[in-house]
Amino acid sequence: MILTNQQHKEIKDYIFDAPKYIETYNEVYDHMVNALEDRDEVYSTALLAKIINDDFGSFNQIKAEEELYQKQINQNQAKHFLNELTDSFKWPGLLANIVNLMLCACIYWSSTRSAFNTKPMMAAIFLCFILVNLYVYTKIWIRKRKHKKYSIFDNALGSLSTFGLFISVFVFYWFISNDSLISVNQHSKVIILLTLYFFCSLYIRSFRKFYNQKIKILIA
Amino acid sequence: MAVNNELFKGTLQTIILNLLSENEKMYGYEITQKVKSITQGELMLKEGALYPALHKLEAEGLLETTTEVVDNRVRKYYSLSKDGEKEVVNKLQEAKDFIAQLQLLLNLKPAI
Repeated sequence: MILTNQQHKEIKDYIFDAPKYIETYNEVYDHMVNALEDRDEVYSTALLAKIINDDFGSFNQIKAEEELYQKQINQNQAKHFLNELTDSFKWPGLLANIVNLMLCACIYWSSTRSAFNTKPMMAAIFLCFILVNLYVYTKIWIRKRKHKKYSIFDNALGSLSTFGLFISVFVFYWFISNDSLISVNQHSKVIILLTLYFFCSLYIRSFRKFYNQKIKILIA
Repeated sequence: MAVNNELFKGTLQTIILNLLSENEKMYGYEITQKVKSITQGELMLKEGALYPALHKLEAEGLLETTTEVVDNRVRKYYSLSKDGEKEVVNKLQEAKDFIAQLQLLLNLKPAI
């Protein structure tokens, strides 16, 4: 069967609400068109329903399978990101870590001799994480507007970018702010802040690499 | 006589990996049609089983995916990753061993 433009539109409309994510929608749509083109039957909406029921079970089954797929993707992306984090301790990423550690040591050494203002460094850490989140969520929003559906990778991407910000907010309110939940002396505050700075640098470098190497290609 | 689909559920991943080792890249519908043509319609690979298996293999890192626009629609192609290339050898050996054991257990003579 050769499908007309109107029939293509009808197929798109018919399946649109079933899958939540654009990747599943594209896969189901491609499958439907292939299945219809291979048949020598007259096109009808009943035929669309028959293909869905025969091949996929039902719309509910597509949704259930999609949910499972999304969980697998989340675990997989978290694993990839962790690999990027650990890989940054291998050459050549190790060099940046050594430089950062030396910088931290210098800052710590100077803080033992004169008063150290934690605010600019804390603000810079927040700014870095906020910029990453802003970038990620803007991308997600743009893609959603373009395709009218979320990508299956958006959840993992959003969670991973927000996690860094969450950690920095947590550390700030627990240890660094003036009204911190746990009171620590200035010395310890500097060490915690420098650890957070090191984590921030590591996290953002790994996230950038992860995004460029995995996500950008997969969602392209 | 059509083969009971339940019998080959356990070997679905092996079938997919083997097909992809013989073909550089394939899309979902193409895989179902390939199985149908090889088995002359005796085995009907249902999409409800195929896509979850493909997605699981993809999540496990054994398959890689690419997309192409074909006739104004996005088509998702699956291909073997480096790990998948190694795994297909293991899976085939497992299947061969299993079939050999099955032949012994059920007193079956190998088809000539």
